[in-house]
Amino acid sequence: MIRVSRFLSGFLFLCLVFPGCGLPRDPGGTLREVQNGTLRVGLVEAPGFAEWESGEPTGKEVELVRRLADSLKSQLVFVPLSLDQAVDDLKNRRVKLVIGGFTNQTPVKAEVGLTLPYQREPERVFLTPPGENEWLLRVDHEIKAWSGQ
Amino acid sequence: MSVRVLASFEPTTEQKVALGKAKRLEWLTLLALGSIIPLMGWAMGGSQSMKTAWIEDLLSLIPPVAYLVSDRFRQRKPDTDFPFGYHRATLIAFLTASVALCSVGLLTLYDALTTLVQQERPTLGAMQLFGHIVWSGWVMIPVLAYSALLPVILGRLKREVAMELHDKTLLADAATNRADWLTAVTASVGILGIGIGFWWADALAAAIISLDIIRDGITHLRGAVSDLMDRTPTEVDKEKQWHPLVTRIVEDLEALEGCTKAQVRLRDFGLYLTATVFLHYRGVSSESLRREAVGLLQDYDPELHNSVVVMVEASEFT
Repeated sequence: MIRVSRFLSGFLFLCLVFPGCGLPRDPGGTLREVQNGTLRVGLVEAPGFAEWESGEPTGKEVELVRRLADSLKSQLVFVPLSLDQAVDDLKNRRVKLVIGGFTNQTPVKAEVGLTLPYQREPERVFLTPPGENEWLLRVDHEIKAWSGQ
Repeated sequence: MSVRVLASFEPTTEQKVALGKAKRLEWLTLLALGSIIPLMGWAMGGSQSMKTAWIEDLLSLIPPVAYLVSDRFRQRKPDTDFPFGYHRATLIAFLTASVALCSVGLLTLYDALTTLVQQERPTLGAMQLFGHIVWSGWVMIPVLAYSALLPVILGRLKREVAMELHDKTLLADAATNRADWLTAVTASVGILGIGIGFWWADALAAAIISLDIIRDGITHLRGAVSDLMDRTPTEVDKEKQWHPLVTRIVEDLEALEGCTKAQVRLRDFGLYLTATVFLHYRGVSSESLRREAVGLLQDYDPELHNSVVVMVEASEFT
């Protein structure tokens, strides 16, 4: 019994201490790269949300991403991609974010990271490189801030 | 009636109390798992180690259900169709459980290893709790702690009862419950490893938990197989040591006047042992020696019950 309660209090102690330790961290260093650096965003054509018009990216999601880049003080670069290319590029971290009208039921959800929804009904999200949890959390905080306004 | 059924056995008062305790503990286990499993399912997110722990918890529903369902069955009195009684019904359930555990354990191990080989990185994102954004890892770890708490306590209580009842399958169930702390710690370390940036930590933890599932399966297997194969009864928790009655019966019988040799086959019927005795004798009346032997064996009741004595007349050559 003593052993159980000792082990549990150890656990709870860890839970209280660790949030202050800067976890989680990106195994691929994405947030560090993007902050004050370049934010490469993959754009998968989705009318109304993200598309190319006369060589320029437009759409609701494009505007949201511009706000994200501002808050990170990063230089924004949009890259046109197909869905397959986007998933691949995310896995290799050639792009750090992918937009294209995705919902959180997207067929690729098991292969990449999904942000919190920036919109309800349906819940629309952005895609992030798998495993880059620090970066994902940062984007989630940004998205949450949008809905607060 | 040509089929002679085994005399039915009435458990002692202590045994009845222990049996009642065992039943209650198994019901409590089901209740505990009923709270743990949905909670884990909600919290597990993208963590493979936590998913494996969740699967292990799902599988740990099988032993209590097997015990409670077979409990009815087991108390049935022997009849002409089943003259040896029904007490072995539970073993079948545990055997199936162990097969389930071993195969699922192998599957999850395979999953974890392929994740490592393919270098897939798990995404552990954010959860929204009470309007705050929280890294899912900070939710997973307390849930894991909770998932270990009740099974460990119940496992310890069950072990005590299992020792009292000399019940290997209940003991196996207790052992697998008690090992849940290892699963919780492993998964937590895996998740913290992900937090630090070691993308492989979670899959490695999942692989270790899979090995634990397989080990649980083997534990159940050993509990069931030795009984199903009529192994010479051993101490409940020490497989290498024979039950003390094995040698004691032989010693006591060979001390009887006229007995040249006593050979014994013991069988474990859970609540009691049963003996088939071959009594070699010379120079005395077979019937009076047999009566003495039967009387001696009855002294061991209720530990020993339903025994059979076979008289073997010794010649110069035996």
